[in-house]
Amino acid sequence: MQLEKFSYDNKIVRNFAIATIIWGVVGMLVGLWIALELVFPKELNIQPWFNFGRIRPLHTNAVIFAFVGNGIFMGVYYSLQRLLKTRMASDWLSKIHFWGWQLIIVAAAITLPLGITTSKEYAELEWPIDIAIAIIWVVFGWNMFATILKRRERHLYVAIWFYIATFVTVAVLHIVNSFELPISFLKSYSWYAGVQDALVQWWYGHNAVAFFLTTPYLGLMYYFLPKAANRPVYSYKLSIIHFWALIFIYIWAGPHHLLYSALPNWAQSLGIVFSFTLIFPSWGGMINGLLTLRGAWDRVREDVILKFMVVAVTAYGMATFEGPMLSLKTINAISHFTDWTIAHVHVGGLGWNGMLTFGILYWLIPRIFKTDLYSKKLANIHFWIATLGILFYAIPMYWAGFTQASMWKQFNDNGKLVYPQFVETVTYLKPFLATRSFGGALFLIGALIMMYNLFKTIAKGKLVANEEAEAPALEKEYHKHEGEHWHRWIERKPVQFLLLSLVVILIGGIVEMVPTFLVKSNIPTISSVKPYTPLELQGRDIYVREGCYTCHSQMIRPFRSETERYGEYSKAGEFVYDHPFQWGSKRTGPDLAREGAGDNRKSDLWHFNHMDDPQAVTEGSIMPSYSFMIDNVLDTSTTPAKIRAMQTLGVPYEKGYDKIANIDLMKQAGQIAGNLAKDSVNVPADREIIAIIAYLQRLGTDIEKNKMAENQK
Amino acid sequence: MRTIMNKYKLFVTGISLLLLSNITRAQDAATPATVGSNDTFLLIIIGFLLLVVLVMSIMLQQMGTVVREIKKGAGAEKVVGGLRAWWGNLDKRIFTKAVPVEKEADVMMDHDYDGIKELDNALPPWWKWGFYFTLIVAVFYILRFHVWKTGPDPIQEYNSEMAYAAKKAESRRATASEEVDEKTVTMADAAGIAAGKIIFLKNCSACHGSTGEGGIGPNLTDNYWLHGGTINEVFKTIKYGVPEKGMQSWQKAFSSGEIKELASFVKSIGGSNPPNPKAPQGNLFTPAADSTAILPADTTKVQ
Repeated sequence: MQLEKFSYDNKIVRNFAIATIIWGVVGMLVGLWIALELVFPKELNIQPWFNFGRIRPLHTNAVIFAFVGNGIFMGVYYSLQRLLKTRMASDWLSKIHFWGWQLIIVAAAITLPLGITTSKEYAELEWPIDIAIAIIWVVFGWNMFATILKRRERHLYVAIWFYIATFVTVAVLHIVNSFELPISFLKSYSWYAGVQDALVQWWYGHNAVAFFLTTPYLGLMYYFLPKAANRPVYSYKLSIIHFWALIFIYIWAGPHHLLYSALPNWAQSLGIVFSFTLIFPSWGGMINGLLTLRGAWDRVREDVILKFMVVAVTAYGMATFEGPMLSLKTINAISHFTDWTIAHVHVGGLGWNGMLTFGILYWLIPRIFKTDLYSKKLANIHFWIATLGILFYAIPMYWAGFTQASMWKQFNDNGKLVYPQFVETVTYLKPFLATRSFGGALFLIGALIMMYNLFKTIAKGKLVANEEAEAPALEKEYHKHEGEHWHRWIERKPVQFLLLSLVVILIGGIVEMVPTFLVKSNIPTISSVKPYTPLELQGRDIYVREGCYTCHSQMIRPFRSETERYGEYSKAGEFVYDHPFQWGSKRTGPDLAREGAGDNRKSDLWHFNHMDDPQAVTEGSIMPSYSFMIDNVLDTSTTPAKIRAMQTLGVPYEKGYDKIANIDLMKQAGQIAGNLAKDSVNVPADREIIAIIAYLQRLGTDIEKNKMAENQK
Repeated sequence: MRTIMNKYKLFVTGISLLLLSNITRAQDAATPATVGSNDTFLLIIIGFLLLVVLVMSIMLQQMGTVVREIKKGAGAEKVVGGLRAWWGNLDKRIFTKAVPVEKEADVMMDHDYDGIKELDNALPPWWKWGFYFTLIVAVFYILRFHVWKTGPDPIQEYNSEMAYAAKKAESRRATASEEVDEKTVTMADAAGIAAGKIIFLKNCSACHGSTGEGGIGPNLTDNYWLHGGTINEVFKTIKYGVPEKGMQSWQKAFSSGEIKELASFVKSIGGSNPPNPKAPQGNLFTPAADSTAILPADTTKVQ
């Protein structure tokens, strides 16, 4: 057979590797910063750009899409070429992909601190960047698929199955979740409202974890772990079953983020059972990884790369067991909205994604630079510091989660909440928040040591930009082996593989979403729920801009401890005009769903003082100051466009209301400014603070009116 | 092998039935059980114990062979060999069912991807059975909550939780000796006022100042009152709040006894002239007209 000569493109691998290292450090640094903001709220919240609500999304986006994203591409570009025995189809597409992705990250790093956000978690970037992401993602997929089509290896290895599933699913998730109506160049409203928006968002959000943080990294594990251990993959059968089971089941699990919410109960139940059945498909990956090390365990003690990988795979196993447990209602009732979730995602993020990325980097950099690692000792130190860092991060957060949940829920003998003031449960957590920051700092120091070590390695080696290789061309005809596994068929057919995985991942989403959108009974309407006034709408957009949802939920669950604290539990019909929904996923501060109603209602003056200086009003509060809103003039030029956009989305403002909306806006602003003036606070009516007060005072009041009407009858 | 498999099947169905009835009963951690959910944890523990018993019995059964060897007076080597065999057997039945590393050439597939080879090891039995178990649980879960409707939905859970709390409140009321309301309230004694001060500092000082001088809320030490200055009126203002003016209702946070203490404390600081007082708001209140007339202000002054 004729051997063909070709070369692997290592330059693109190097570029993605360097981007992984740098963005990793940046993302972790921002993480440490926001962690410390909770400990030193007055000192570190540099308003407005670096307030917690604005840069928490910067942290999540940086570590997910910049650190892990570049890590995925580094590993895929390295392994894909070698597994297919061919160079990437187009060096140009590789370059466009690389630079396009870095530009997107830079755009995110600029827009998020500026408050340009859609407020949909892990999808905060505004519509022009969403379009850029879609284009660059297609470039990546196109390049990958063109490479697959010109391969010299008949069958696709399991790593590539995972790459294909990743490509197709992330494309679907991103496009569906990013349906939004632009109002201006940097502002849009989500196409969906309330419950539907929440369902789409968490279908996306959960599967960003599944198909961005999990499946591509399983693919990387299947290449780099056997390579580093020099051992055969443990079980081909297990690969097949856990791959298909994983991608089919994962897509259904999103609603577990919305248990006890206003999401229809049947959808919640689907989320629960599919999360529960996810344990073993997920563990299939862990088992196949760990058992691949059979016969190499003695080397694990010596080889730091294998150590990183073992901890990564173990952390994966822990996180994927914990996830299904957190999806059980009994446990979710305790864990949701607390730091337990934060602990959980960091076991996955630091442990699985972080440690695997580090292992791959230590393995790959010396190889493409044809040299040895600069210092094995430093790599070992990194390993121990990182492992300690994870422990110091996770343990206090678990503790904080249990403790806060129980403080929220305790009643005394008189049947009253033991901690009626939310802030008591926050001040109690401060030592835990501080210890967590210490753990995060350790992890970051480890990453910095790695950066030094790897850059020293790069400096002493020389990049093999085009690595020579040879392999026979594929024969035109293929005769299948006697008694081969049935699955071999589809491994030879990439296009069919792509289509089949697309069908498999579409089922769950369709079954959950279509009825929620089409069947009216899923979201019973409430007649007293009315659209926001123009001022409230503007205030709501400020709420979105400031990322208030990162710390405040707007979803009262049907628990006595919540209805006592916050009022009537939230109903699906209350959110029908919420583009986007603002349910949130974490209560660092109290729920705000009924902030303007019932026992929670406070005076305009309270809100004014509290936004100006939260600690002066609530001792021990860790909320950032928003005093800049007192100086910022509200941009009312956008009001007509916003009203029109809402009308397009089906919000029933009267025809032509856009033209007179600002008159109503000024009137309402004048009333609030008047209220404040009565309490001798003189602030012009045209300031942003007036709008945010209007919005906060509106929250939860609609249903209150309904009750009053009922009482009158 | 067959009998073991049958045992497994029996076990899996048994456990799933047990868990199904309760696995998802949510309850507020500190609330003593809604109807029937007390046994949730009990059943989970029973299920777990059954699992342990099953694994132990299989292990013991295997161990028996080793013990017999020892009884026969076999040498130490044989015991070690026996233990190894015992472990190997267990591994084959429950754990990995893997072909030993030494013999892996037998199951090496002809796959070769950039030097990565694949073995044709079987699915680990515990993994397979675990997966089946979760699938069965999933089916029964959906049947229970959405077809048979024998399990409560979140709102039903909530209603039973509230009903339970209401019942408790009812029994508390029956035994309570001094339930007060805005009509019956009187000034608390010195100890009560001291207790009221503690509540005040924790919950009220944010708006009314730590000495009652006022801030976001009105000054409580002057003789001007927006909603009346008698103990009954102060009690009422605290209990129900004045939502439209930003005074929140506290009846959910505090018992009526606590509100009494709080109102008494507020009355006690009248005329204390703290620094930085907020300008008077509301109507002048003349203590003479106060039917609940209290001790002279200067004797109850609070520092």
